[in-house]
Amino acid sequence: MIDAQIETALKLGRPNELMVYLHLPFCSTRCGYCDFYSETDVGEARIDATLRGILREAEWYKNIYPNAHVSSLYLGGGTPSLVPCKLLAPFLGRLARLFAPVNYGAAETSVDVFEWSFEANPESLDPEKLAVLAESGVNRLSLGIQSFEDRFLRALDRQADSSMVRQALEAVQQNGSFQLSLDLMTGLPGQSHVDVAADVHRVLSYAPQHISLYSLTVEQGTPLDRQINEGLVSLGAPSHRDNLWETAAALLRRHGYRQYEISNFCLPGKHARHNSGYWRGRPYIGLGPGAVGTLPLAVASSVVAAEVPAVAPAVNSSARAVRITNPGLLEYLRVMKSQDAPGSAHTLEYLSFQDLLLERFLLGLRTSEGVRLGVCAGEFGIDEAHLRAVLESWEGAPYLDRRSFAAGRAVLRRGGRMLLDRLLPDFAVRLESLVIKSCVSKPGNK
Amino acid sequence: MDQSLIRNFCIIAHIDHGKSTLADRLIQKAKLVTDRNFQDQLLDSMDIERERGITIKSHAVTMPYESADGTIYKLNLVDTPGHVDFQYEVSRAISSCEGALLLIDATQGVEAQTLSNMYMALDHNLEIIPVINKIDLPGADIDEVKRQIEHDLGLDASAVLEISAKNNIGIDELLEDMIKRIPPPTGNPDGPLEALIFDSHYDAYRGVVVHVRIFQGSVRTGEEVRFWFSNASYNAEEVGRFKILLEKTDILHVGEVGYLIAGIKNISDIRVGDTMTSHKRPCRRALPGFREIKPVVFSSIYPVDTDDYPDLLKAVEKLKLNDASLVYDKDSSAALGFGFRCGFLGLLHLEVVQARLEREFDLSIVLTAPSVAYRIILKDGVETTINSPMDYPGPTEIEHAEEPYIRASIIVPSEYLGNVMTLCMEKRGIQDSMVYLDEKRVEIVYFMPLAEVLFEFYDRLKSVSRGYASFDYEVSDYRSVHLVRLDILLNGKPVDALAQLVFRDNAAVRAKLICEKLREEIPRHQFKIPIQGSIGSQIIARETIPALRKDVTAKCYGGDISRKRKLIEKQKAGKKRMKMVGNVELPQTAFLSVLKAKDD
Ligand SMILES: Nc1nc2c(ncn2[C@@H]2O[C@H](COP(=O)(O)OP(=O)(O)OP(=O)(O)O)[C@@H](O)[C@H]2O)c(=O)[nH]1
Ligand code: SF4
Ligand SMILES: [Mg+2]
Repeated sequence: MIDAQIETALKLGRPNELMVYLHLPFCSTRCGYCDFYSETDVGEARIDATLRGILREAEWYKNIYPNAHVSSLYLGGGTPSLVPCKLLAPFLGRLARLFAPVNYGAAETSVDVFEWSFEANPESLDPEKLAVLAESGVNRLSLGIQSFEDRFLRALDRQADSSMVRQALEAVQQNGSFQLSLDLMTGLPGQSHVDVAADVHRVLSYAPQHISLYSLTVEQGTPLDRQINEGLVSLGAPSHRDNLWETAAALLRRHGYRQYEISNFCLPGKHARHNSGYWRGRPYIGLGPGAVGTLPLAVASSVVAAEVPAVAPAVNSSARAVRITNPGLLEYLRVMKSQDAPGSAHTLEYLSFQDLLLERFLLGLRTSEGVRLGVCAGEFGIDEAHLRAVLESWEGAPYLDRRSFAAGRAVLRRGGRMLLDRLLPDFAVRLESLVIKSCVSKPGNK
Repeated sequence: MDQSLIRNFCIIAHIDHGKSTLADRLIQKAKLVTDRNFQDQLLDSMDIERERGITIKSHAVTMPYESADGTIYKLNLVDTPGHVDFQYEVSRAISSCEGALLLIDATQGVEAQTLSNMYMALDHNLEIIPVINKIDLPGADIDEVKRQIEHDLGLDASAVLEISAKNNIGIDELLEDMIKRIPPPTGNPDGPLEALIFDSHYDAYRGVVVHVRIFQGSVRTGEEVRFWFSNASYNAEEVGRFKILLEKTDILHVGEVGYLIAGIKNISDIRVGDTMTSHKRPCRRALPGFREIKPVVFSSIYPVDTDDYPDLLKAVEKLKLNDASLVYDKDSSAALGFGFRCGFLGLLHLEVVQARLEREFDLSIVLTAPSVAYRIILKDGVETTINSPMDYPGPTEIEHAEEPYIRASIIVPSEYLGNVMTLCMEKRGIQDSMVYLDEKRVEIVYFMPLAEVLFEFYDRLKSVSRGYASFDYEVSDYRSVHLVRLDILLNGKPVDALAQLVFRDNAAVRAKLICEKLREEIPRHQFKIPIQGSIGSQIIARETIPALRKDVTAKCYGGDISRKRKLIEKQKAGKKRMKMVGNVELPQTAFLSVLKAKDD
């Protein structure tokens, strides 16, 4: 729970820039592979109540960070497009007033000023809703299509069939005011290389600025997982599925898309600002049921003396940030409707210097821009030479791009990026020696 | 303290017949712990005992008891383990007692360790009180168990007590009966001190704590004591009794069991089985110690990080204080550096030692595949005993090899007799005898190679008899075997620590199993790793670990980060337990999995 003391510690954490993630956990039915937090069978009244609750939470955060500059707002889910127009318009209006920068509006709608993304599924996207989104200031649309083939869409238990997917895409093109990102999936049951190539070409025909390419993963406890265990569905050999993904990735690259993160591709300059923020370790607020946020905490030495006693004594002195997970729908609604403080049912995980440093690399190394060593060393108060030594002794060192490394950035070549998960445990082992040394040698450093 | 009011007794039984549960009831009766602090099997205080639900160490505890006629007795109870690997614990407990409660589970009846433990107690002239436990269970067959007590054990069934340790039934009667039947300790209170060291442990703050039974004289705080074997003298800083914790007193009298702390920092001065006497007024001769330990399984222990060898050395010395059955010697390996060749009383003992070294001493260690001791007669007539594949001479130098056999006695209900006989034959057993104990139970005796029993025999016996067969064994003799050394090669290079000595006809199957296990255990590397099993230059099994696969699964956004970091932290811990062998990283578990390679 976020009590008054933690609120103070958050306030004094003073992020220069913030991102906002807003989770709308509603779906019309559940896709067989999905393990996101989402609820089905939620009626309009409850959606309305949730939106009100989110606004209460948003205002509360705004109070904590009255002057912070919000650079992006991402509405994800679930299926945000499920919210009916008459609820959506006022809700988006309130959000814009709370978070959009002053210079953002009718004339200025560039994602560089304020990236405002909205996730949608084809079956709940029509011209009217698109108009509402555009008028409210949403400038980027992320559409979950996964495939254009009916048999694959059925295998995934998706709501939309291929004609709905096409209709939605055409409506988006007609409207014309959004940067478009499409989700595409490979490794589907019975899929061949020809099938993958066909899907990729249909995606390319809509010329989206951005594409997220995933290989179907079987998460534990999902219906798909059960079907596989019962032998009803077979996904084929892992190596085949890897190759399918590679086929798609290679095609995208050939058509001018940059693979700027392990599973994300974009036309030059069109990367997702919001997601890139995660990979750069930027702070973000989480709004809505089940949302997650990560925010900096005041560090004793960085706070003026008079303010120090106000910092929560309960907060472990090694905590530099806190990861906040919002309660699920029912509990969320209970709190937001009650007199309780909006943060009273949020769960907290304190992140130490060590945690954050590891996260910086586990995220940064996923991307083509990598981690900037000088910046990182400065921010964490460590010696850049030590950091370099850690990287050079690492199992992943052979995959480091030499030229970037010389220029002060840790970037993995593509082959290494694809092995990142296997290389990270060794990195974590080596990081330990670094952290301990620098903590000893530079006490009190931010 | 009036010697006639002391009763020293142990609780002995087959595994799981309820010894520790009975100890619980006695401890509660004496109110040694508050109800709030009580937990079941209180004396099983080691983590590994609680995890496995069995007793591993004998545990002594002294308690007052007020009998029906108002006399206050001092009871000294020793709870003992039932598993066959820990019989040495039982034998040492027995030598500090005058009596034994022999528990028999009312649903299981007399089993293999019931017999062997009873014989041990008889050898020491203990008064044996047979007690039928678990009479509350619906399957209890008290008449049948009584019959077995007379027939199989040769004890008087009319003197049997019937209890339920779990439900606190018959405990008062048991206590009354016990103080009447078990004799008080004898021994001259004024003679020179004669104390038997029956156990010890190491305390980080106080050094060695010696567990003693006083057979003559007494020992006081401040007195100078001498240890017979090392001839070292120390000033007794503290003496006391075992309550749940240690309880200080000024003096330990003849007949008592207690502890002594004397600032002993030199661990090798202390030996379990040695005699402690007074420096000023020494006794004339040492007490008979304990029988020599004959380890049956050997394995080498190495630190995962070669630099930790000094820590391992200290740990092994300290563990030996508390586990007198551990036998060790220095060893070294090309793959693993310096370590110890250790002898164990069985595979469970081996696992316990491993677990204790890791937990109590916070060490990361690897163990090599266990082996028995082989007798080798060389072409030049010289005879040697080897228990390590590293000592195996070239096949051309060997005239003839012999392996240890055991005499295995198995008691089994007749319906599972066929299954058990098939299993024994598979394990190269030779039947010696078969006796119907009654119309339902059979005792069969087999001679079997000990090496075969080490691999999964016990588990398989339990599964083919649905848990009903019980098993006891003793090493009997050596018999001829066609012995070969199975080498395991990683990336083309033999890894000495993975080699095994095996019966030629088992080599191919064993090699295949090991290679398969290693394929599962070794993580993928950036290159492909062949795993081969060979005898000499002949490859008899082969597996390959493919190179790392790319990892394309992962989306990673705000909500996924913690999960991802935690997974990496967890894998990091595993990574630290990896052993570099050449350019291959072997997880610690790889070494153990080799010895657990299932052969069915
Ligand atoms: N029903 C019933 N169960 C009992 C009784 N006594 C012990 N048990 C159960 O039998 C199991 C084994 O009891 P323990 O006291 O651990 O047996 P043990 O003889 O000390 O076992 P080891 O030390 O491993 O040889 C436990 O689950 C006890 O709860 C009894 O009188 N009645
Ligand atoms: S629409 Fe998205 S969030 Fe909803 S069930 Fe399907 S995959 Fe999950
Ligand atoms: Mg026990």
